[in-house]
Amino acid sequence: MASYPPNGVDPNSNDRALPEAAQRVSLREWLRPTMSVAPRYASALISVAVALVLAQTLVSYGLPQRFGAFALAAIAATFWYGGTQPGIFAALMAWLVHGYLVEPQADAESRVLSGLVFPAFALVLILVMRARGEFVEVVGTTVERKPCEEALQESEAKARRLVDANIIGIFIWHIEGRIIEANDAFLRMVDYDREDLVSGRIHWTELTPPEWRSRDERRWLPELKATGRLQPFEKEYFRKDGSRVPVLIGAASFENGGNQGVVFVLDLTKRKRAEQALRESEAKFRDYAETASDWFWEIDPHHEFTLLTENAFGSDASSRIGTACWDHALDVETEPEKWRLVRATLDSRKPFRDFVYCCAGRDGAPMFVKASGKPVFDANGAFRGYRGTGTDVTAIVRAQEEHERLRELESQLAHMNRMSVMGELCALLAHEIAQPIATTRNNVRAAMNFLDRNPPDLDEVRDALACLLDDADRAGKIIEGLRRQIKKAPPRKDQFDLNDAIKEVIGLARPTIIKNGVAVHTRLMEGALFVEGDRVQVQQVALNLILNAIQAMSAVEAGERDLVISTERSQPDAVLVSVRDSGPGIDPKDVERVFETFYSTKSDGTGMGLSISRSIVAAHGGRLWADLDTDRGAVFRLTLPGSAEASSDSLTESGCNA
Amino acid sequence: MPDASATVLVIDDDASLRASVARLLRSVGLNVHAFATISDFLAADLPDGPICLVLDVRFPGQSGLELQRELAASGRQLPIIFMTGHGDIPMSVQAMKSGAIEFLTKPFRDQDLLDAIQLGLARDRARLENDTVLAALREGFRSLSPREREIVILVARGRLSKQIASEIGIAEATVKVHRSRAMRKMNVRSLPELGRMVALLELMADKPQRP
Repeated sequence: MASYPPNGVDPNSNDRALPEAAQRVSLREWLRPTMSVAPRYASALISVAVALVLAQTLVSYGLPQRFGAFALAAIAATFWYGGTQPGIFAALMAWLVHGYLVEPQADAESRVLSGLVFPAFALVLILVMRARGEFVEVVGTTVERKPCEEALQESEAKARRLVDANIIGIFIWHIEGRIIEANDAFLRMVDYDREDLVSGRIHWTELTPPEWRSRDERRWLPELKATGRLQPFEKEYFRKDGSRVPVLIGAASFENGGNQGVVFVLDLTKRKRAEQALRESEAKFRDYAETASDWFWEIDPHHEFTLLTENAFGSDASSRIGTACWDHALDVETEPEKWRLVRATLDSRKPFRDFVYCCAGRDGAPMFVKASGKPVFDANGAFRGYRGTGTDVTAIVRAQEEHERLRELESQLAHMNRMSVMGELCALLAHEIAQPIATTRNNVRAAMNFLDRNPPDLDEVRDALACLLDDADRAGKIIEGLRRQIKKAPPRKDQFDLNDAIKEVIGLARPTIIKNGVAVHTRLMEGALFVEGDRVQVQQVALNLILNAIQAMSAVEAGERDLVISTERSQPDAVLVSVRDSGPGIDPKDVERVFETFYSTKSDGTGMGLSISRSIVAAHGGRLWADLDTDRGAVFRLTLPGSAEASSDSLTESGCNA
Repeated sequence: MPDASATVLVIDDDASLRASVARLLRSVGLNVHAFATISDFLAADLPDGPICLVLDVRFPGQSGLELQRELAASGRQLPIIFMTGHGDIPMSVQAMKSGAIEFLTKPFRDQDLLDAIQLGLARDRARLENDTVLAALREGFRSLSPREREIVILVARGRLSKQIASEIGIAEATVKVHRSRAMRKMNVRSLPELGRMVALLELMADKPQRP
């Protein structure tokens, strides 16, 4: 690689000599820094040493001493490959070696004089090179020198074209900051025009933003000084308007430790923008992938997973590679028809959507997965398997199940409502059925009386008997109607968690709670609280008490409507439920009457609710009563016999403000 | 026991029960008038002779208890026997307090009903007799001259003839003449009886008179 341009040539002028190497080597090679200093001086020493060894070898074979010739060759070679200073150094070394090693026996004067030939030779070489206008500093190994003027001009023109082609920005710098020359590409990059350049207003130091300046000074300038070149790196320049342009630059000084050099500059704006867009889109997709519960999967033609994104199935995605989805499914046996259809779809290589199945998820816990996929075919149309997405829909499925359960409960409560309506109906029926019985008695007695007459009044007796028939029919119809009403099974005897049952009731009453702006506080005993009985009936009682309490509180200010529902173990084998409201309370004289049938303080009350509730609780072997010893409002308490397995006695408190 | 003049009034919206009660009462020789509604009853003319009312507590529209209150307010003290389908204690207490003869829960024993009716009729008969006596008294009192009335009232208040004479400024003998004439007119034989009669009349005078 040639060093370029020669010293003394004004870089601003267009007649700078260009190395012929430029025509064969790339720009990058052209700018590759030259050999460092130490090897060049080392080569001077080595060449002189080689000359000495060759000369001594000749002597040892009895041949005449030829150190002078060898040394001259060594000096010339050093000049050629190592440069001026190493060449001079080699000449001096040869002088010393000749004086002290080759001819040690000669007197000092002749030693010095005969050795002077080497420095003289070096001087001649310097003069010759100067005369050729070519001061060779460092010589690359591959360079062929074509010292003819024609070639020089040709290569110079080519280099000039490279600069003027403005494919990349190129400028020539001075270490102090001045930009001596720059091509249009560079000027465009930084938005300056040629006038700015000519008038010397552009300084690369000023173009460089402060944070880059310090890096320049700390790192790049020392490297440039040491090696004469800089590997391409990214930095920023200020444009004339103060905005920044990201660039990739590479630099070389014209000589080692030189004060001038050339820099090529690539505008990275577009690339940066593209990189930014790419980064953003990557981040976007990463965000999507991270936030979405969806995962991607691919299966091979044998339906075995070949790819699963990390979030697949919540965990252990990698362990599922090589298995089929039905290997993990938990509902293959329970829902064979569903799986048969899926297999048929896969076998027919049709796309499928929203296939929901249950599989073992994290720690083997059941997990519901919704999968969609489409078949994949290669360029030749061969089936390669399927790919698609999967989603964890466990929460949704669970919510649906919960919804179903609540619906069922709702229908049960609707039935309970019917039951309570039926309670009222029963009272009416009792009234109804009392009627035909009374009538029957009357008619029988009347008939007997008419028979006892003398003579018996048989017409009246006949009438009475006919009416008796009617009465019997009527009673039968009432009984039939009653039988139609009561179709549900007799009260059940189940073990159930009272806390759970009450929570459900609160959930059911929530619309009413919210509508009335009631704050509900639950103080339920921690853990399960098992009692025995008919869960639905007990819930009916609880619902009745809660709805009564809410209704009672309609008389007080909206902010003071507090409903406290608590459960506790009153005795080792009994559970106490309290429903306390902040309403106006119960008149002490009415505290027992509220449980009487048909007694109601409400305009639309049937007077049946508490009466039925009490009979339900009594049927469970418990007690329902109203307490007066509270500051305000009423508290209804009921006890139920609890089962033996008691849970811990600590309370869990929670409050919710509707 | 049959009393040809006694009538039992049965009010019940249930036709078959109404008919059966009526039949039962007829079978023991009672006169029976049956009504389906209270308004039918109120629209009808009440028969002469002792009366007893048998009615259901629960009526669509107007309840038996309300009828009882209305009758009491109008001064017509009819003996009432209530029938009910439910054993409604508060209601029965209220009915009994307001003077009901009996409160029967269906299905009731016919003898209980008949006993209650006999009691009711007896009470009404006594009332009727009382009414007759009072009517006669009132008639007698009305036939007195103003002077005789004045003297009778003063006698009933326990004044002696001499005191009366000085009080109204006539001779003692004249007082005695007026008194004996008045006693004859009112068909009273002794002075204490006269006093009792006057007291009854004064009591009656405080109350609204049934036409």
